[in-house]
This record gives sequence, structure tokens and C-alpha cells, in this order.
Amino acid sequence: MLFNSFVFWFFLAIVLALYRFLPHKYQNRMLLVASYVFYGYWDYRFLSLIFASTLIDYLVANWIHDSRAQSRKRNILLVSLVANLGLLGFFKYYNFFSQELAGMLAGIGITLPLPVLNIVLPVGISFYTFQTMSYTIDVYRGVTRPTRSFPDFALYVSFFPQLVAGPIERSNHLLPQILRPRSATTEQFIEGLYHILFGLFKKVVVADNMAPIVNHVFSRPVTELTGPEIMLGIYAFAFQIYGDFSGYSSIAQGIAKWMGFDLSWNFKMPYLSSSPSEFWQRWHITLSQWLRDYLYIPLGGNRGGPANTQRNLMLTMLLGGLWHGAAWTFVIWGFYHGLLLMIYRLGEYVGSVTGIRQPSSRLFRILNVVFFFHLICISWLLFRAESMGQVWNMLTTVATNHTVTDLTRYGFAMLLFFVAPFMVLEFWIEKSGDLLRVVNSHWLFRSAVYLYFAMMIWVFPPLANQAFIYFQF
Amino acid sequence: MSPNNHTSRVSDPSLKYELWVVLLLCCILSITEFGLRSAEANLSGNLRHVNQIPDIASKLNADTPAVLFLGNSLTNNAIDLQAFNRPYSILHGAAPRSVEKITPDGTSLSDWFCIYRNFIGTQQNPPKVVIVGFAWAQLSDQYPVNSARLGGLFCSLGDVPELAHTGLARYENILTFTVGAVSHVYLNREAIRNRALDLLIPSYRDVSQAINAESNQGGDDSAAIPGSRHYTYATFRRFSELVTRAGTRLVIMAMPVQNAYEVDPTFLTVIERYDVTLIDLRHMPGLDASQFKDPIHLNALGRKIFSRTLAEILDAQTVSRSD
Repeated sequence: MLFNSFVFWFFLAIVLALYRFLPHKYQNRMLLVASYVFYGYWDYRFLSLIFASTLIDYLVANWIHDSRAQSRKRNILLVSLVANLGLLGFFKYYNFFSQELAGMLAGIGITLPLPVLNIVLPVGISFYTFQTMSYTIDVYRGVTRPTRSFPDFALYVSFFPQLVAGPIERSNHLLPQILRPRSATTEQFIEGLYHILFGLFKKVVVADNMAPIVNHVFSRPVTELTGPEIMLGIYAFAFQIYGDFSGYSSIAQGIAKWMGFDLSWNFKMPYLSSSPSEFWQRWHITLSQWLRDYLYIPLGGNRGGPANTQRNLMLTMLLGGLWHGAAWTFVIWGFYHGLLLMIYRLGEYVGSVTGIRQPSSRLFRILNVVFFFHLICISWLLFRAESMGQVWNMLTTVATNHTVTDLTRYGFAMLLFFVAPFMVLEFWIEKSGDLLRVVNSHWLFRSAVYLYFAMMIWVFPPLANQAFIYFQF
Repeated sequence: MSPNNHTSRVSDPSLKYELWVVLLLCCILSITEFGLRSAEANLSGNLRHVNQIPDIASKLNADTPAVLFLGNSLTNNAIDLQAFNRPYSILHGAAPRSVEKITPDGTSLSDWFCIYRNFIGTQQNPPKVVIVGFAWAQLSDQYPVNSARLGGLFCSLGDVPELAHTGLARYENILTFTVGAVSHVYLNREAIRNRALDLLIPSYRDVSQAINAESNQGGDDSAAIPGSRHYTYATFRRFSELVTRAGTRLVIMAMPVQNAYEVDPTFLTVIERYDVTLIDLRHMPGLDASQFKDPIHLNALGRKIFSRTLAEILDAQTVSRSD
């Protein structure tokens, strides 16, 4: 069920109605059943996978907690890591690695006929495996106590608003909310309404209207495109992926609020960042925090001197890229972001040593943001393109062909119509420092904003429904 | 500002004001809904034509014997009622008193079924001949349905079980059907969107059509290539029973388009069992690329040629029966 489908809202209406009248214990059971129904609606065959992952990590966490010897705890933790990474590795990466291995061996004259399997990627597997691994790791570290209630733990893993595309919730944030009685407050209703409307606007209006332009540009041979058309495709994709993913996260937050849950913020106006480290504090925040806490810091973080810090940053970003998909373009995307982090860190270091400071003027900040946005757009080209050849050809064409066509004029006008108001709103929110600026404004102004969202959602969706991009992860 | 310094608290959680917001939203949306319903026909020529269907049905009922052309823009662009009438009347003497076409854009069998059931079949004097134009797999159960259009314009809830074999059977489509019946803003969003963006976006029509054609693989239902999919015709069976039960003759025309398509052999087997005449006009003599205004629609000259030739073919098949 897509969040922008009628069947989902019909399902949610039933869930909320039941939720309202059930006591706490039965609320959790009902939510668990609803979450499995939600997930099974995608493909019932994958219910067994999420159940298996849940069962393994439930048992592992309790064994770890009950064990005394550190070595034993570590060995039990390995069971969880191997199981979860094994699931992820098989479903997501088997074909990629087997083909690369076969290709590499063929290059040195060895023929290894590895089977290519017709594997369907279970929706949300990258998200829920990371979520459950964080739980077992946190239990091992003593950061969180395991729950003895299997149904409540199963709900933590499968909670439907955030199951298929995050936010990736830490056990010490979401699990206590599941375990304690809750009811939605007025504040949560108000905030939830905002998140849902804004999320639908970002997904249905912004992201889905950019999708046909993106598909049109990226599906054509580069020789048929001009530089401005390619730039249009890149900008459109930048807003498609942002609207798509942040829209989903917002809707998830809003729905959870209506049930009295508080989910983590996953996006905070990332395109207003002026540096890579700031970007990763604003974009897919829960993933970057997961990578920081379970990869970057265990690798040593910034504790081993500049060279080790750079190495740890690069390794983290490479694996972060690979998390997104089984293709070299994703790895190179991760490498590119690692490189950006390294270069900016180097720049800060040089600045601290030489005493050269960045100008603090507003104009410089704006230019910095615009410049960094374009660096991010290059990364989106790596993300969306189907091959490095396409990336190279597109960049070359951007640099050499400046012909403005009907498609260019059409596309930039569409960006102005669908994206510009959205970015103006984001800029206004950023300037105020209040993520709920719209909610905290006068009720008449809020009505006007919600009316704009509602009319655009109702009248201006694209002509065909588009899937959520992050479902492929 | 550092993203870590953002605040995120509702400063004044007042349910009263939030309810005012929701109420104001509902009021304005309702006003928009009612406003649109009164001005709906002005949104497009197609909606004007849809609004005329009850009048056309009454005319067919009053001016009997009548001939009805049922289809979509393929048929609309192929039939010139004047050109069809004259040779037909010359050839027969007892000409039909009324020849009409009901051809809303983008429709297919599910729409025609509901149109016939709810507007034509309810009349005391149904047409003597119903001629349906189709191409590709538009008569199959698998052809995509526009659920909102079905719910908003042509069908009632009672028609849903009749269309159970089509895509309408899925939960999402039934809900969309219901929303289309309730909200004409939602139903007409495509027309509103196209009107607004046509005004605001340079080259909107041309570029959108190019993008849509690319994503739809040429504008036709390219999945509807017999042999590449398995098609069923339960809905067509119901439709032919509905049309022919009062003695109406049902004629099916395979329409000419520039890119060749096959008629599903399964469909040929189905119509053999029913009193349905199939006329294969895919390669009509006298029609070539110069008589098409785009890959699928005939231009004015092509329309005249098609209509006259069709009348001659029908005459040769002695479709028309006097009272």
C-alpha cells in the first residue's frame, strides 16, 4: 500500500478507529497485526523474512542480556549480525557480486558459471535489518535493555508507518513508546496533520511531477540531449528524490503522531546546507546517525588522527553508498560524498591553521549554499544514471552544449511552478529556526498553507502514480 | 543555522483553532466542488459531449429507428455523421431517423458498458443498430480502466459487480471509483491540470504529449498485443447480451490506425457464439497516411472516406432492418 493510495487511507481509518477504543495492550497487538497486513499487502511471501529477522534478534538480545561473559555476548551478537547482513546480502547483493566476481575471473581466463538468481528485493529490507541490528548492538553495548515481550518487539521492528522507508528508529527511542501506555494529545494531532499534508504535498505534487521529466531525460541517448536539458533532468531528480523520500518520512511522522508516537526527524531542509557535514545532519538523518554510531565510531571515528579520520569517513560513505543499491554507481556516489567530506574537512583544517576565515556575509552564505547544492546535484547524477559512461557523457554535454529547447523551457517552468513554492517555504522555516513554523503561525495563515497543499494534492498530481524511490532500497 | 538548533514544539496546542482550520478547509473545498460542478462542461469539449449523453439518448429514443456509434476518439474522428447518412439513405431508402455518436475521449469497454446500461438501455426504444469502434485490446477485460471516470460520469455502484472481471475489481480502483463519484474536482483534475498548465507552462501540450507518448509507448496500449498476453472477454459477453436483448444489432469495427495491430483470435472465438458482426476496417481501401492527423486519428478527409465506405460495407452486410 502506497501512502498516496486510497486503499492505504481506508486501511488507516480502520486502524485509527480501532486504536482509539482499545486499551494499551490490545493497541499494540492490533498495530502488530495491522503492520503485518500492511507489509503483506506488498508481497505476503516476505512476511516470513521479517518474522525470521524479528525472532532471531529477539532471542539474540535476550541471550546477550542474560550472558555474563563478554566473549559469549560478542559471539551471540555475531549471530544477529550474520543473520541480518546475510539476509540483506543475499536479497540485495548476490547477483551484483556474483556477476562482478564472474566478470573479474573471466578477465584472467577463469570461467566460473555462478547462477544468476531471479531474486525479488523485499520492500524495506535495508531499513528493518538496520533497525533490528541497532537494537542488538545497543543491547550488547548496554545502552538499552531488551524487552521480554515478543509481540512488542515485533511491533518495534514492523511498525507500519516507518517499516518500508524509515525513519530508522533506535530502540531507546521507539521501544519505550511502544511499551508505555499512550494516547494522542492535541499537540500531536495538530503536528500530525501538518506532517501528513506536507508529506503528501512533497510526494504527490513535487516528487511525482518531477518524475516524468527525469525519466524522459535519463531514458534518452545522451546524444539526443542538450546541456540545459541534462541540467533540467538533474535538478528535477534532486527534487524528485528529496520530495519522495522526505514526503514519505513526513507522512510516517504524521501518522505516528496521530497514534501518540514520536518518530525521529529524518530531513531538515538539506538543500540549504553549505557543507557536506551539514548536509548529512539534514539529509536522511537517521541513516547518517546509524552509520556514525555503528560504523564510523567503531572504526575509530576522528580519534586516530587526520589520516585515520579521512579513511574512516571514506569507508563509511562507501558502505553508505552500497547500502543504497547493488551497483557501481552507488558505490561511486558514496565515494564522491566521502571525497566531499574529506575536501571540506581539509579546507577547515587549512583555515584553522592559516587563520583564513570564510566571509560571514549573507551573500557569501547564499553563494555557498547554491554552490554546495550543485555539488549535491552532481552526486544525484551519479545516483540516477545507469552507468558511469552516461554520467561522463552527460557532464561533457553540460559543459559543451548550451542549446535551450522547448523541453528546457517547459521543464524549468515546471520546476518554478511545483518546486519554487516548496523551497520558499523551506527557506522560511529555516530562517525561523522552527521546524513547526507553519503549525505555530496564525490559524488563518496556516489554513491558507493547508489549502494550498490540499488543492495541489487533489488537483495537480501527475497523470500516472509514481512509486516511492526509496522502496527499491 | 545549525540543524541541531532547530526547535520543534507546538507552541500553542489549541484544538479549537485547529478545528477552525479543518472547517475552513472543508468549506473552501466544498465551495470549489460545487463551483466546478456548475462550470464543468466548460472545462473541455469532451466534458461537454459527456454532458450531452442524456440528450443524445433521448433523441435516439424519440427518433426511432436509430443508429448509435459508441466508442472513443478513434470512432469520433472516424465518423462523419453527414457523410455516413447520405450514402446510407441512398442505398436503403428506409434511412434511420437518427444517427448519433457517443464517443467520450479515452474510454473503453467498461465505460461503454455503463453508458449503454445507464443511458441507452433504459430508454423505451433502444437503437436498432449499435456500432462500436475499437482497436488493440480495448474490448478485453485487461484493458486499463479509469476508475474515477467510471464512478463520476458513467457508472453507478450497481455496475461494479458487472465489471468485476476488469481492473475495477481491485480495492484501490473501487475506492477511486467512489472518490470519482463524490468529487468532481478529483474526477476532472486532469482537465483542470491541463488547462492551468497550458496557460502557465511554455510548450506544455507538445512536450507533455511527447513525454506521455514515450512512457505509454506510442499512445496505444502496447501491452494489448494479442499473443503477448492472455485476454479474457467476460465483460464483452455481458455487454453484447445487454445490447442485443431487445433486438438491437451489435456491430464491432476494428478501426484503422497507422501502426498495425492484430485482433485477438480469442476474441474472434467469443463473438462467433454471439449475434455480433465484426467488420475489419484496419486496412480500409482508400486510406493512407495522408488521411491521418496523428498516429491513430483520421483527419477530415479520412473521416469522410471512412464514413462513406463504412455505410457501403454495412449495406452489403444488410445490417439495417426495417421496422
